[in-house]
Amino acid sequence: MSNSKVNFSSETKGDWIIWTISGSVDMTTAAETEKKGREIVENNSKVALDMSQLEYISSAGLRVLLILTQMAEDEEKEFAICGAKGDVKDVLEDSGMDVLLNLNDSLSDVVGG
Amino acid sequence: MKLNFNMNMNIRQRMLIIIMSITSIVLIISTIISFFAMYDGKKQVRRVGDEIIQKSTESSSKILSEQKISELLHIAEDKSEDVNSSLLYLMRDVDLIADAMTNIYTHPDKFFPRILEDYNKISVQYDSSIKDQSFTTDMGMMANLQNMLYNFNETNPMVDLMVLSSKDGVTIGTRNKNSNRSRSNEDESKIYNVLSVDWYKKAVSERKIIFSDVRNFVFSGKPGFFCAEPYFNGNNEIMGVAAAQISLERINKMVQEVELYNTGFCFIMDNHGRVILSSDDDVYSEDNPSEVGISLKRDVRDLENKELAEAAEKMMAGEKGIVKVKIDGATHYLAFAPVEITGWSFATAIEEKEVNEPIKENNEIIEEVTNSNIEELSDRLKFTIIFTIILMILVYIATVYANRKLSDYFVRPIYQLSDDVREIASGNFDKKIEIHTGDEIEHLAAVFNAMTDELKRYMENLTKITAEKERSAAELNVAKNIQLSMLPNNFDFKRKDFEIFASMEAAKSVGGDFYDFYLIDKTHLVITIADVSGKGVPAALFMATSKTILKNFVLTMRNPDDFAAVMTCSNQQLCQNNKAMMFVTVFMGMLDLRTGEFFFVNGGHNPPLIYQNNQFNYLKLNKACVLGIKKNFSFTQQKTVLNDGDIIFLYTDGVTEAMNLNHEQYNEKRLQDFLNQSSKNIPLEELLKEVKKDVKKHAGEAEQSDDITMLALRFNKI
Repeated sequence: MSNSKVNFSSETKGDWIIWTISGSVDMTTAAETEKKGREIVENNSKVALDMSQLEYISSAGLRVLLILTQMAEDEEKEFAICGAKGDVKDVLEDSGMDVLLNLNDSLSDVVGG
Repeated sequence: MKLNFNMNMNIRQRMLIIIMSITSIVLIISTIISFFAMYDGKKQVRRVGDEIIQKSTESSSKILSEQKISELLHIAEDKSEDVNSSLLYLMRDVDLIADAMTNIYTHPDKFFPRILEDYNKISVQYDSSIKDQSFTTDMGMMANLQNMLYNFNETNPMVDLMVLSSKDGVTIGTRNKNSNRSRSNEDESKIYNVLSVDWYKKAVSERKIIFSDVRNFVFSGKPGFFCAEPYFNGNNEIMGVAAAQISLERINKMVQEVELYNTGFCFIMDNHGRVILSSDDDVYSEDNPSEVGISLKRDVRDLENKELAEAAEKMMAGEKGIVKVKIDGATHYLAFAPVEITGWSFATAIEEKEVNEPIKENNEIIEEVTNSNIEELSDRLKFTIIFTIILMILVYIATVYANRKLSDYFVRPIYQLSDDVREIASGNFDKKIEIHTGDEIEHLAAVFNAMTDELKRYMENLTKITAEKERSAAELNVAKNIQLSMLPNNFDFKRKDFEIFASMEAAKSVGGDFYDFYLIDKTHLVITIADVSGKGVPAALFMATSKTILKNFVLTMRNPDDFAAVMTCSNQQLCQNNKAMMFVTVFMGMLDLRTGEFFFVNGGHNPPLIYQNNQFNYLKLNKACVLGIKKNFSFTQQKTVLNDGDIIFLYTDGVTEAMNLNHEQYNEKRLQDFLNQSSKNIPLEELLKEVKKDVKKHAGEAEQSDDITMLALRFNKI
């Protein structure tokens, strides 16, 4: 169970809040992730999502990313997705998310340093 | 329920067994102890009884034997006295007659010679040396006492006859009362040489009253003796002798009358050690074989029996006493006392064994008494033992009863508890267990009550949750029904130029996968596979919408080159009012069944596998976006050509992303490898089953988290 579970952490760096998701976001953890993401985007104007520790994301997870991106656009906030790799990166690219989302190779590209 | 019952029984039985065991052991031990004590008591009583028998026998026997022996002596004393008295009485008679004669001769002037009046009463005898003158004178003087002699003879039973004998040899005497001789007998001897007779000579020589030795009388031949006393004249010259003849049979009865014991007897020994009378013998017996039998010829002191000889010596010495001697081989107690006048000795004897006989008797009596006492004591002990046994049994029964009551007392609350718990278990959570025994059971009841409260709360929660779950389950059911009803399930187009098969296995939490296939005309087959993001009813509805829109646009298509436009238009439709950010990934293809040309458009879906040139490879897809998000996205179409037997294999990420417990995905590589190593000629239905089996094999115990959807199309070029 612990393997399929998702873990969140956040830290502030300059203007940015860095939100780190580790584990996997699938149909069972999507709701939890969406709730946490909405909370963070609501309270912060510059959110950097660090996905470097994310092992898996399903279509349900992709939807969460779309929802949060849409939400940030509506509120004129920044929601940058950073550091996806491996399977996660493949899923994002195969489903054409690079067109829809603000994808970045690494966290430092967004928040600097 | 049954188990509960058994457990109660067990507690009760265990208590019963433990208490009964302890009670039994205590009872058995106390029974053994009391039995041992009683047995020991009985033994002790027996021992004491035996001791009493021994001690009392010893002391009482001693008293008894002493008594008997002293009685023996008393008898000897009494009898010797009797004999002595009788002889004294006789002596007095003789003395009176002698005194009377002395008086006559002292005063001859006062007495005249008289004649004998009755010859039947008085006889006359004379010595052969008699002178006639003296005969007349003496007889005349003696005749004065004729009546006195007769009277004395008559009145003294001891006397055979009374006699007067003068110094000149004249003798007158009473006739023997019991004599068999007839007085008319002419043969009666008139001669009696009295002057040479023992008693006359002894009386004259001793000049006083004497007793002669016992001997057989001259005339009668009977054994007897004389008592004789001389009489005198004025000058103190002996004028004659007065005498009485006593036969032993006269005093025999004094011996015979003595009452002695069975073995007892008595005898008189004279001053010469001769036994002259015996209670065992006839007066006239001679040469009796007994050592103390009558014999005038034998001196007991001369016997070989030294003990008896010694005793005789003492008797002759006039002693009185008791000795233990052997007589005729048997040990006797011999008591003796002197007859002083004659120097005789009166003896009584009894066998030692008879002396001891009362001892034996006494022993028997004492033993009998003691034994009967012991018997009684034993009976009482027996009674006590029976009583003890009954008491033990009663105690045992009482213990069993009390134990039953006690265990009931302990077990009853447990029964109540189990009844109450049963009621609670049947659903009455408002039931409160009321047990106030103040012990562990009450504590247990309190715990049960607390548990019941918890259970009640939990049940209420559960009811709420269950209701919610039911709602969502119902929702999922709706979703599932929508999903399934949208999928075509008739794979048989009755055509030889292609073969198609598809399957979808929905996950528990219903995703939004769908597939679709249809002929738009006789030569064009369209296949679609799609995956809607999200789950539940919204996903299902979005799926339905997507499927409908896609099919509608396909059916309005006039040219294969418009295939990409179908996708673009569908996307625009789906983007409208999509606040929820639902999206769908779609792969759509169209096969020209005449040429094998395969047109396809991708909308962010996983790349399908295509079997061409005997190998499965992933199709290279143009970059594209999912449908429903970006309204102005333009999709592009691609084209490949299938040959006879080539296969298109479409799937959703439920296949490649199926995870096992170690969180490992099935992945694209494995899918490709599996398809390559499987047979390509088998029906597609079989192929899909094989793939699904391999996916399941990979997932193992892990729960299916997403729909597994596959579609395969084989082109058979005609």
